[in-house]
Amino acid sequence: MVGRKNEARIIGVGNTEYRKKIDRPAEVLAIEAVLAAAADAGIDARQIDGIIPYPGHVGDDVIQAELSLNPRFRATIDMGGCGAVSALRLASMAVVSGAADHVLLFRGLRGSSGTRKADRPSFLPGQPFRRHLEHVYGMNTPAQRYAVLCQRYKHEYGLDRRTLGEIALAARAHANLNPNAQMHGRELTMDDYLAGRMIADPYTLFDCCLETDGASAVIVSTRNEARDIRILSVAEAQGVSPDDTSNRDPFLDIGLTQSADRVWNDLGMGPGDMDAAMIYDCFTFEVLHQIEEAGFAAHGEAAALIADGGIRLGGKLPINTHGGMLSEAHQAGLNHVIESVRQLRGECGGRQVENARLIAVTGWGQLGDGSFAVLGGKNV
Amino acid sequence: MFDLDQIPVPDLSDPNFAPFWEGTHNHQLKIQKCGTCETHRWPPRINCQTCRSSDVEWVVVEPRGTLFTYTIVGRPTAKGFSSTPYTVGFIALDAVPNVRIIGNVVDVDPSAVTIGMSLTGRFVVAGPNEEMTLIHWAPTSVGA
Repeated sequence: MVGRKNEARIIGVGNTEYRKKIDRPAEVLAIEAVLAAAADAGIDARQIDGIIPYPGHVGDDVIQAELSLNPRFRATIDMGGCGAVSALRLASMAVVSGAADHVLLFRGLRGSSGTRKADRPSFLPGQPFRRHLEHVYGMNTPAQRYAVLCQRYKHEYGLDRRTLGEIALAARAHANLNPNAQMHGRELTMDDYLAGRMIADPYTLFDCCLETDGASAVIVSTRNEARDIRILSVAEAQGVSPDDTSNRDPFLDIGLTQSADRVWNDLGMGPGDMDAAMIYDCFTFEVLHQIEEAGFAAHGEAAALIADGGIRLGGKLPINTHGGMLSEAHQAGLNHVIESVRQLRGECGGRQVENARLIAVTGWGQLGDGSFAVLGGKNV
Repeated sequence: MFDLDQIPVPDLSDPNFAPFWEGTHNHQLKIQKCGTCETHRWPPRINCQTCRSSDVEWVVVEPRGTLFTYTIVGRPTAKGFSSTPYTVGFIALDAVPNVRIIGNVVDVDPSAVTIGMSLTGRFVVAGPNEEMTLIHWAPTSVGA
């Protein structure tokens, strides 16, 4: 249903400004983004009859009440940063089956000016054993939990800090072509990167994604007009022992390994067919990790793709042309979907990928969940 | 280095963990072993992932292992850990290499920590009322 014959399309995208601090409630931001997406789609917001919110932030009930919606379909996807792309799948199933006509995906976040990350309720699975086995050893943040994956990769395959640095620098260079990026206008050099303060070795400041105030929205339907972007195929999967990384074997196994494979098989396409990729970049290494797990490079070989501008605009595989979560905004991956749509429509101005027809987008969350979609523009 | 008396104490009576905490209190590292197919498992689970049996034994294993991966925490994020840097590692047990235990790596400068180093567990009392016993991992001394 959501494979080769998937008829679902993204018909509207919208977002607010993305900033470190915005003095408006997250609800106000979310409403603005939803209305922008409806306007972009050319529909009245009341035509939205399905809603998939982002757990733990502005809820679907707020949007429903404030915009007088009457949804026929509501669902929550509890997969953290994997949820944006997984929601494309669920929304596709909803509109193709007729459960709804226009499904809204949205996030409204006060990620930067809200509560500190370590003090927020965690939605990670495995909370009981984390309290018994991790917190008592001072391990309680995403940076720490992801750092151990990077450290092991470094041991198995070798990894130069400058490779991670280039991931951060490429994101920043792209953000500097994107006026709405949180880090627009703030140059990042390799010296700056290497001087970043230690967060959780090997991660220093510039290896970690931003925290952002802002909101984003996407509308999925089966409408087929020239500007609508087809969700060609989308899949999701979890890593082995999805709630625990410490005893995962193989240790670097993630859901994306399977979900990307399913999409490539489904479409009869491969990594070489993609004009760009939007990769969930919570941390620099996770870009490299997913490049390999999605098949854009063999295990241990992503560094060669990343070197020499390979993931920058004009390179072999431009990645995160908006600046990603490292330099555009943390919107839990929905900004990656929005950027894909704008690229495929040819709306990206100075950061446009020439003749972009096919873009891969990943979702990654909960330390194991991985979703993968290929979106197609016109004439695909 | 650690504010041991400030580390939050989990629910030590949680049935899935009580045998583990009783073990550390007696200076023993106890992990789960399937009562049916004898596969060791960690973290504690209700069912064996190999045979689905819920029969479980808690067995004592030697607290020795090698460092599988680690991170050096550079800024304070957790109660009881106001002083940085400190090291958190995943330690693959010598006796059961498919089981990895999370713990602090101590008695070695963080910059000298390396994957594959041989570590031995040490039992350390912690919590506001010394309610729990943690395991810290120090480099195995030569000849020990």
